[in-house]
Amino acid sequence: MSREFAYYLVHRFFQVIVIVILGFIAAFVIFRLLPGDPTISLLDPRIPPEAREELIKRFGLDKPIYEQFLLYVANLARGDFGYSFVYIGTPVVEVIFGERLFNTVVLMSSAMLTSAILGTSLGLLMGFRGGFPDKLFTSTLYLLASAPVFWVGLLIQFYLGYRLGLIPIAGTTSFYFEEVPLHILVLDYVHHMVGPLIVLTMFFTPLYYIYVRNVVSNVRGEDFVLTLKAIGLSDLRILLRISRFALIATVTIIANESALLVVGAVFTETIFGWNGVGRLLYDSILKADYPVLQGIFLLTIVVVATANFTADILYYFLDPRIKVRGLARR
Amino acid sequence: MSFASRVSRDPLFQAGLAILLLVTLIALAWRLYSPWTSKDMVGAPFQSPSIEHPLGTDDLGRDVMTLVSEGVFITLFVGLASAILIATIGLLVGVTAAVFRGLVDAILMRIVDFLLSIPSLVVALILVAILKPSIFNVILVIAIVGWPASARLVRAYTLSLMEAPYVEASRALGSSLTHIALRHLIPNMTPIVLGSILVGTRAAILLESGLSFLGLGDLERVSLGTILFYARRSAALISGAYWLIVFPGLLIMLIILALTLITLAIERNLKVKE
Repeated sequence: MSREFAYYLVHRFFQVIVIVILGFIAAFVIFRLLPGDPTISLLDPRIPPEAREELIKRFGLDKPIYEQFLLYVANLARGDFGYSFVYIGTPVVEVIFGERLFNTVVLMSSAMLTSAILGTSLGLLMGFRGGFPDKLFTSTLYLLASAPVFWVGLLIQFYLGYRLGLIPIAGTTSFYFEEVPLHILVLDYVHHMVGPLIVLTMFFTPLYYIYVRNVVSNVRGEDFVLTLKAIGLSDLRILLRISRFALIATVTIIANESALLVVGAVFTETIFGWNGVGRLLYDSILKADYPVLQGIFLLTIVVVATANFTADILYYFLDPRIKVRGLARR
Repeated sequence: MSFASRVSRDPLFQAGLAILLLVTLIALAWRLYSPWTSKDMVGAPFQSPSIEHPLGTDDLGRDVMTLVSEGVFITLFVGLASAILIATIGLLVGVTAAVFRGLVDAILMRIVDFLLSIPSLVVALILVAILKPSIFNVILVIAIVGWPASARLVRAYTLSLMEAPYVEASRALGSSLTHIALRHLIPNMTPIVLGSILVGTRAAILLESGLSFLGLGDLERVSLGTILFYARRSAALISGAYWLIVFPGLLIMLIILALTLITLAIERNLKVKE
């Protein structure tokens, strides 16, 4: 490992730590200091009085605010995110992790992978080729990018689900209680995923396409591309050279959208009744389940920080300009 | 050529403006022409589009065209109000960071980076859940998640302005940084502030529609998103009342498309050094 790389890593790692610390402070401030603090939700009739006493002592709500903060950090460090107000007696960690996180990660990773491949390759091709097909695709995808995702979701559910009966209207599975062979269970699961997957692919693809297409379209006119043409390199060869720029763009978008991998798609999951973290977030808002909300928020922060750090490492190897800049800064 | 005349001659800007004008004029014309308000029940529920009710009726027998023509203005109002708030905060923070540099800049930009890196929808949902769902709180929440993008843009633009000869001259004469900010920088920020407002309106309308669609907006003031929320909650989908879903969403898409075109026109006429 070279010295520049080590310097770069430490520098980026420091930024990631700042994000995590700010996130934990933000969570504390949002959930303790704003109106709607935990003592109000503790008056909730769903919580028995002895549990209330226990909770007040446990979270030190009778202590000054800085002591509360220290206690909060200590609890989080031990992996204790508190208990759900709705699923009484269930730790927040158990509510989020497990089935819901699994469903969300399966749906989101499929959607993001499909769109990344589709959007990047189309964007690379159209940006490189230009002309009428480029204009046609680019304007269509700008139009698609203007359609709100919840509207697209309703339309897909209405036309493919209610009208044509091609996809299940809602849910993650049809078999909640019956015992069925594994392959039928998997097929049924995939069948339920078709609707949300179409909606999310229509949502994500324009993001990749527009970004990649603009990057490639700008690069096409640069001197080194003209040189490559003058040397007599085939179009395919030049396209392969340029694809590096497209890849940097793709990594940027994946890093930016990575939090959704875990938080899920609130609208799509809610519309299609997909039992994931996104729907849990919405349900927790309706039911004022603050500990779960806080858990989802903190999970988001950790994922965002990890994704940014990973993307930074990838940039280092993909983008030679970063090495130069890193050296100049020192 | 000045920034304003360059943008106004851009075909993308003209197309965007035309769409916005068309949508608002039709909505305005219907509000003047129609005898109903969005609270009146004017006929049988779930009527399909007809001459009398061009966009049909909803589950309570209200005229959808009336609902939608009021919704357009609520949506645009919330979007614009949030965007003005976003641009104001962005201007103050961005100029402060760029003028003072050093520690102030570092702290402000770390906060901006942090807020930009977490999904704004998650933060907005949690804040709306804690505050009461009124139109004012929705605007406030949109501004809270929206200002960082504006601040970063303003900062980059201010940094390029700082290198202008007249700023350098003023510094050589011994002007204070506050004086430079108030006297030379902010008066020259009109293009970036207008750009910021339009870019912000697009994001704000998307967010407002989303929150309203989830029933977390102001249910008293029916925006386009709220109409979709009620449509989904009523039996519109199962009754085959496509007009309750297609038209409100189509209008949101047209407004967003118009603002996207205007944003593109502004971006390509505004060269900001990053």
